[in-house]
Amino acid sequence: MHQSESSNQMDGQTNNRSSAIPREELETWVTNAASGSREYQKKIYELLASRVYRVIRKIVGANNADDVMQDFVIQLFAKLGQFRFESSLETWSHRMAVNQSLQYLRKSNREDQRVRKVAFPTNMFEEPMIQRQADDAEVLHLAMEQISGEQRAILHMKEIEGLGYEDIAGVLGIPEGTVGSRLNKARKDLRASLIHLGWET
Amino acid sequence: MNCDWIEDKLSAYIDKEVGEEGRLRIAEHCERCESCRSMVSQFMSIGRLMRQTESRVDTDAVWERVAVRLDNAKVVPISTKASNKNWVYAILATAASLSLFWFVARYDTSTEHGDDNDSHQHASLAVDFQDVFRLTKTDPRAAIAKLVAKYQGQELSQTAATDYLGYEPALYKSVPEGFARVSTHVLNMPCCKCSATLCERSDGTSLIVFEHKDEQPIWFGDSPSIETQCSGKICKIVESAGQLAVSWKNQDRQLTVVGANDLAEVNQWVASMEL
Repeated sequence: MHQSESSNQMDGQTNNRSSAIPREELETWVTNAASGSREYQKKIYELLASRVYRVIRKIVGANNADDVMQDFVIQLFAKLGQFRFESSLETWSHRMAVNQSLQYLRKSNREDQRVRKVAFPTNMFEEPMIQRQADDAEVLHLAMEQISGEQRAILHMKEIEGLGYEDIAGVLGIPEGTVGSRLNKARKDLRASLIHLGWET
Repeated sequence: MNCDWIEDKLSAYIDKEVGEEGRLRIAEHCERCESCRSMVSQFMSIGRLMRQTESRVDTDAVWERVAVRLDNAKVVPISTKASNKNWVYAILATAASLSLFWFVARYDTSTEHGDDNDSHQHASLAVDFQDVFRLTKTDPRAAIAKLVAKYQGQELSQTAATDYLGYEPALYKSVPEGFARVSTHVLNMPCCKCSATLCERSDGTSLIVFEHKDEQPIWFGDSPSIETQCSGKICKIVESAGQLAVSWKNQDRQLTVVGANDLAEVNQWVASMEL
């Protein structure tokens, strides 16, 4: 996965990429982890965990991230034997994590809750905002709740992971040509939510 | 000012995902258009806000919980090869257990004079379930050899096996279409005598059919399993190494097929093993 110039490497992840590991060594990791070696499962986990956890947290929220992350890791090791190195391990695992997170959202009807929040924004946002000035992180969190899980995922991959459109398309399984317009829509929707919450640039 | 043509490209513009010609056109437009310029600025501010407010993560705690789950949950490969077994795998993949023991047979140690509560003991036969499955797929003869070594087994002819077991294995009456018997071994299990018959598909791959006459059902330990109806019989199905094992009772026999490819094959075997 290549990084765009605007990317912001989080938590010193720059050297913590599968591309930094020789192919043969990574194959050893994958083979052993898929066979159940805890030692190699831990290596794979440490390679992927931070970035995967972030995207999961962005999609399902901090309260649910741990549970979804655990389910993801279990599924990752169950399916690791199917990894064929046709894409990077990050892309492959990100796709799984995003799909699992979105599936979780669908199952738990959290999207419906968001619709209700949008339908009754006064109760949810305006009153608390009058009472106190929320900080940027809170405002962003509330605004993020107003957009879809897919939109949170694509924004996260661009702004936090710093992925290029090709890699984002690979993770989401969509045509590369549609990434820009989807990002545009996500940014516009998030911007509208932020402005609604009183955000000032 | 008409911005329709450019609005959809603003993200690609700030993400440097447009060519040089497109970039120049958008830049020129933004110089003249306050609305688009503002949107570009706000999009970039959103990115900065996201990065500034992104908190650190602690994945060590999650790993500790995952490790516990891995210890207690058998991770099974989820195959996409055959749709009719995906549901089995999906269920099995979530079943919580980790046992590498295959048969845990209970044998009666009561004497001729007594039958008290202590007369039953459990004896773990400790056959590595994963190994047997794996070997059945890649080297079924080695799987049988492993069992033979552990349980003082031997290869016998059809007649000799019948004499040794004291009954004629159901397998000798009929074999499902597309399969052929290759060999029969008898195993001296703690619970009972057991036959292990290697059967070959027309494509050269094999599975193993076990049969023993005992009230004690074959137990798959704590391995993830489901119970379902196969050809009218209650079957216990376990998945491993991309294959299925199925165990069911037929009259006084306990039958187990290890190495079935899918549920269709499971049903085929259960239906054909009539006594």
